[in-house]
Amino acid sequence: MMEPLLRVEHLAKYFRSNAGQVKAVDDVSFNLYPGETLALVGESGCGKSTLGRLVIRLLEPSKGKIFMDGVDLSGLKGRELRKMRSRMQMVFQDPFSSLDPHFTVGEIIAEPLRNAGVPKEEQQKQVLSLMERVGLPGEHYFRYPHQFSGGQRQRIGIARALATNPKLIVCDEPVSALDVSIQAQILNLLRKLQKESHLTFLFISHDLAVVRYISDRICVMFLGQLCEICPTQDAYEHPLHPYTRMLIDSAPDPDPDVSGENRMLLQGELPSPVNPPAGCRFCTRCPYATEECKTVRPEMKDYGNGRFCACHHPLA
Amino acid sequence: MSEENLITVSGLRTVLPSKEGREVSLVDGIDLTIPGGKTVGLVGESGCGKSMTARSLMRLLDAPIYIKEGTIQFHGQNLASLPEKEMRSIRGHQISMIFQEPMTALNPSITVGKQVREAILLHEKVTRREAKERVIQMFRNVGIPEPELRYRSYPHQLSGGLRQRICIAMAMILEPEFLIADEPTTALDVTVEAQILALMKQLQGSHKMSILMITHNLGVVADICDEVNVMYAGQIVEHADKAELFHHPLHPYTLGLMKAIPRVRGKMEGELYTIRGTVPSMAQMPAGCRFCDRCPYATEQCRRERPGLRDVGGGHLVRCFREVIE
Ligand SMILES: Nc1ncnc2c1ncn2[C@@H]1O[C@H](COP(=O)(O)OP(=O)(O)O)[C@@H](O)[C@H]1O
Ligand SMILES: Nc1ncnc2c1ncn2[C@@H]1O[C@H](COP(=O)(O)OP(=O)(O)O)[C@@H](O)[C@H]1O
Ligand SMILES: [Mg+2]
Ligand SMILES: [Mg+2]
Repeated sequence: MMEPLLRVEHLAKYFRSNAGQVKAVDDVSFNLYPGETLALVGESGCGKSTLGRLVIRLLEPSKGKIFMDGVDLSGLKGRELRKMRSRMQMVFQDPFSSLDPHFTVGEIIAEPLRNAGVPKEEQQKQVLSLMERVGLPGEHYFRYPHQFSGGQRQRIGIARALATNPKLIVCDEPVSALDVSIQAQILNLLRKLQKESHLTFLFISHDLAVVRYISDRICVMFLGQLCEICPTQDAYEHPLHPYTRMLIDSAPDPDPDVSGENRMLLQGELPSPVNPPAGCRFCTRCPYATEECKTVRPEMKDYGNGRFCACHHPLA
Repeated sequence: MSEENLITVSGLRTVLPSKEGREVSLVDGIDLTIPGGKTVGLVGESGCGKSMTARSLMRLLDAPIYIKEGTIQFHGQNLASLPEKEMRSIRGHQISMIFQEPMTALNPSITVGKQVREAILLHEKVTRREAKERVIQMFRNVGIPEPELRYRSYPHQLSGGLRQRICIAMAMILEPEFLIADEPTTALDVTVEAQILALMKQLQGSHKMSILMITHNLGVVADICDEVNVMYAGQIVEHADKAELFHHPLHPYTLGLMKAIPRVRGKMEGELYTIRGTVPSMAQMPAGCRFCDRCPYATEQCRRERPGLRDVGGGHLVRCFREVIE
């Protein structure tokens, strides 16, 4: 078996809110292998962005550990930490608010290089080459973000993320704000860059069609915990967790001949994250829930062939 | 013109006057018919003029934007030129609208029950108590759990899905004949979206109303619409029955959109198709076909002349010069 690039063990992040403590991420473990795209899916508020930020250490975990190439990130300080961090970058959903309007495109992309102490002359050369890689014409070097469309801004964000030559990029809903014709351009760009530079992606999305196209494996998250981890194709063809099935069945498909009849749709409301159900967190919305589900938290079990599921009554 | 159409829009042009005295057409000569009891889709990418079309039909345009040309026929009246006072009695009563972001349609400082009740009291002579009973019944119909309790909730106390259900209840409470839904599920999770679409189908069945479903999502169109209009840069570029549109898309833009979307089900191979370039800005439209700079089939004629919307048979309309290849 290949050594993971990143090993996440029992990771947790608790936030204080007016209503009480929110366990935004609660005891999550998974591996991320070099060169793969692992998708992280789930409804809004389930903890995807928090988990993404924990992974690249934009947030301190409340519990748990992250190992990169076998090195425990929580033990690192100062220079060591900065060095490790430069190998992990993030691309955000909103290309409008994530770019500083006061800087030119050239300055924005050069920022991580400047922080890394790359000499000035060298910076410009590297920025131009980055712009070329993401499909931005070099003459845009001196323009400001507001002069660009959403798709172009996302290219700027991607170029900046690539500047330090990272191994891992956490993409948090990178195409959710884009129109479909532009979305396809960005998705194809990400795939091209991955091939060229052997990048590893943690790809956060709520769009199950996009995830099917871009990812090799998929992590399904519900209220701060993982339900299922499996190769992407398995999730769509024979999911193990009822929630995986319902999430995928909910997604509208542009095919007029697919009737809604065999779809399994979710009923009811999302439970409060402050007061999640004991036992399985999905039990209040699950058609198969039994007494056991209400009281005993299901362990993540290995079903072979890279499939893992935390459910007392898996589908297959 | 067919008898069964509830709404017939002809040559609708909604413009934004600019300081230099020029006018930009945000909606550029739209023809649209809404048959009674049917759901008609209006699909297109952001900025193409979908909301402007909806707001024109509702006569909810912010000055200085105004309807410059065209008619909106509804029960023998032309809504485009109806005095505001008469329009007010139609709005919310015979025609109502739901929006993408339910918070913008709700008053944050009034309980949701009261807000919906006010809609009844504004248009009908009933007691407050009767009105309240009707609101609670409608809350139940749109799938709001514990409707008596929710009646007293403020909008911020509810989830996005519940808020949208409140907005649907408000839009439905006076049993309108025509409902305009402007991206009603775009801000919601797919799980909630599926619930809301199922609710809209069910309500349409029980109330026999017509719906104009505005969306950028062809999946939503496939799920809920009977007919589809594809909009690009202020114009309708294709119109057909749903099955016809998905099985025989003709306009290069429609074709491109369909190939550019990743799919949840079925086969998916190789790279996604991409439509090159971006939408031209409203102020700088090409002289000929508005799609010509992005179109793989564009010819000299496309760059020079503006194609009209032509019928290729069976009510399938397309704004393109290209001969149909079977
Ligand atoms: N800084 C914060 N302070 C308090 N609560 C937070 C904070 N960030 C996120 N949360 C809460 O944590 C949960 C998970 O949020 P998030 O990770 O943003 O979910 P997702 O990205 O899946 O939509 C939510 O209930 C959210 O309200
Ligand atoms: N209040 C406004 N003033 C000026 N232009 C506007 C206004 N609202 C929308 N527009 C412009 O009108 C065009 C159509 O917008 P809209 O109908 O909202 O598009 P859609 O709903 O299809 O995304 C866009 O180019 C947009 O920038
Ligand atoms: Mg998020
Ligand atoms: Mg709109």
